[in-house]
Amino acid sequence: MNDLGDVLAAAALVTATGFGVVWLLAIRYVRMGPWLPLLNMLATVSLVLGSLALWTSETLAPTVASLMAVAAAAAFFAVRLIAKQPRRQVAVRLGDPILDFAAIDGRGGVFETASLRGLPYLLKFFRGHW
Amino acid sequence: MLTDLGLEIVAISPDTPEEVARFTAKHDLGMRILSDADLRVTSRYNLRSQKTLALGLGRRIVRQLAIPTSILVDEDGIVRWIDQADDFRIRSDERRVLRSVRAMLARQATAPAASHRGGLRRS
Repeated sequence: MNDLGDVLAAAALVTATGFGVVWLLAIRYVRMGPWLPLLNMLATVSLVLGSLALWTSETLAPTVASLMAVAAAAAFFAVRLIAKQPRRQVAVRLGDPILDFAAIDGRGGVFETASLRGLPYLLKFFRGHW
Repeated sequence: MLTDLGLEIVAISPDTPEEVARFTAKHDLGMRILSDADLRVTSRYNLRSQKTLALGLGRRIVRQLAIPTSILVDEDGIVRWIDQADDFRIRSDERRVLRSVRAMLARQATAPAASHRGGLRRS
């Protein structure tokens, strides 16, 4: 029995589970931005604890637990790397007039941005569901 | 947040009108949501982006998406601020935005005759 290995593995799995829950919540609520520092920290801790646990584990259960923690953290970092949003020069610049358009709203009607003239508004382009 | 200032928010995404209708029925975000399924508007603003999901065995899904972007438009239809961050993460920027929006709304409130354009009313 390796107490240190078991404790580390347990700690790694708990951290990874906590990090997994936070990640799922962040995805559910779309706005990943504010969650990122916390997610990065939890994933790093999972990775470190999991690696240490893997190193010191002697039995099957702690080994599996630490592998799961390491895998979860690695998956998160991999997804973050490939999910980088490209930036691109928007077709309008500061001081330009907005490009008016018409589009269908949630009630099936046609909405024209020109109808908002006289009011300030925020035009938000959302990514779309993946 | 910006919605508390009474600022009109127009959201647009590559989702279909049906998806937008379903989302609108479930959530009341206090903003108008528009569908741009053929990415006509998104492309016009040069915000088209593509995500490929490799399923393995040579199969893949390609989904057309928009680069998340916020554009603040004043009462004359002029672009006053553009942001492509996922969120208003940088607090100083958010304060600056709120300041300009408050200033714009205050201007509109004190000079209603000047900014009134042919029968426009807040919905």
